[in-house]
Amino acid sequence: MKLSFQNLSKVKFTAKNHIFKESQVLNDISFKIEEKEIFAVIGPSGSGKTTLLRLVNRLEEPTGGDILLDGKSILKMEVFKLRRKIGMVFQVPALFLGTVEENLFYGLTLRKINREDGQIRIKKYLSYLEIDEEILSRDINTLSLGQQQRISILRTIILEPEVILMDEPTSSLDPSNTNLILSLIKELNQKLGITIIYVTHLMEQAKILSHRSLVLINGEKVEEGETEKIFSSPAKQETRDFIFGKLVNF
Amino acid sequence: MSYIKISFIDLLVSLSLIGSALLIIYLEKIKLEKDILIGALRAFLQLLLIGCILKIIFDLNKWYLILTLVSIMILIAGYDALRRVKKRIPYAYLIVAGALTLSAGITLFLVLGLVLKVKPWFTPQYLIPIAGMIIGNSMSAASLALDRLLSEVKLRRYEIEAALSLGAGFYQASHFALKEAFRAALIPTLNTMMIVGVVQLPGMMTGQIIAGANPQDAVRYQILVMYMILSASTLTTFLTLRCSSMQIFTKFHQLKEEYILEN
Repeated sequence: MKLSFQNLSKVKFTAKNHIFKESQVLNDISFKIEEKEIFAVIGPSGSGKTTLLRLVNRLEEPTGGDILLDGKSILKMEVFKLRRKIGMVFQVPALFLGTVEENLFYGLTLRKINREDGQIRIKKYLSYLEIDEEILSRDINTLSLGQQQRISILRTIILEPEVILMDEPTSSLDPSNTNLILSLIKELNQKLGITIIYVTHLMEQAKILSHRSLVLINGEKVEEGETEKIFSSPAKQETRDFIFGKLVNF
Repeated sequence: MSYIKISFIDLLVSLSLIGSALLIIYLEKIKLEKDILIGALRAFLQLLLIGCILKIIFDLNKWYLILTLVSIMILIAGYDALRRVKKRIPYAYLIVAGALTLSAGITLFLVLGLVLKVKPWFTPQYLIPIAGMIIGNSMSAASLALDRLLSEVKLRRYEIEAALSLGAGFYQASHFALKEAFRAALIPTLNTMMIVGVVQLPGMMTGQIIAGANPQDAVRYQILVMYMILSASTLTTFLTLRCSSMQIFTKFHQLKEEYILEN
């Protein structure tokens, strides 16, 4: 499933004490994502990365431009159809109160998959991710943050979307859980052929995971290309500043 | 029925009750004297005024006058319900006033038409106080529901958006917030039902007993009142929440940004 972003723009309005403020969150962004690739969107906080993902899942509407999914405008697609093809994992696990099983069944029930088939599917992915079935009956509040995020990813995977959007899913995790999630994402892409758009401000993660990347700074596309190339020989000064700035931070 | 009537002089004597409250507030330097005086005066004037209006309406006994009064009660209740809600949603007044009208209409039909079998249906002695109780309680429920809905939506935005991205429609996705809002709206009524008759005797029943009614008859009325308040509050809450949740989302099942951001 190919994605093509065409002159995408997003202006947001914020009102405080009846004074409207306009801010250009994304400005005329165009790029392409190929089938079955892991594509990283990198940039500092507030560069518009999350907004870009939300536009793909149509949790927000763009103010200009379009996103094409296999040549068809997502703005002309029925929103439920689109969200079936494109799943999203948020920065926080965003699990629903209840058991792990209830969470996993949420999307399956919406797709009218019966209990038996749902259970088969859940077991298949649990064994695939090497997670013990015992976890199904556990209340989500008894899970660690790392386990919660893995369940949140699993909740999206079992719906078998063609594209998964990931918004810094490791931001609240410790290094060992982060590594677990990163290897899980690689596997999903390699074994299941799922296209993944991965948003991060951490260059190491982009390097480990992605084939190609887009550098986004202040809502502007600064650079797009093979991840390795961007890091080894950035074409733009802004990219160099960003990489250098981050290296200093480490 | 016989009861002791209260004259104007008696009312003046009752001002000593306000006087004692004022004295305590003054001595404790709470600085609420002005509010107490305004409150006492407003209660005095508003109740005298409504007493006069009710007397005229009872004497004229015309259905259109009675319905006009009930409509005014609903219009004011809609305004008052929203006064206590911190954030605005589009068409909020229309939603709340509409919900109050529909639930008051249905409940009044059931209570006056089927239970009490009042004839004629607009007999003000029954219709006005019962409508007042329904509207007053439903108004509080609508207000609590709306306020809680908006704070829960903000609190649970990630759950709501996760549900949307998993394929839920706006109503299913907002269920997490709606559930809490529904509970918040009905808990005061349910709590009252739990303790009624044990800790406190409710106003209507007390009024009937003072007016000379047989306590057993008064109790039956009170049971009817409690059931009717619960039913009307539930219906008002349901309608208010259902219509309000539509306003919080776009037609593409997106949570509107103004309900997520800090005010």
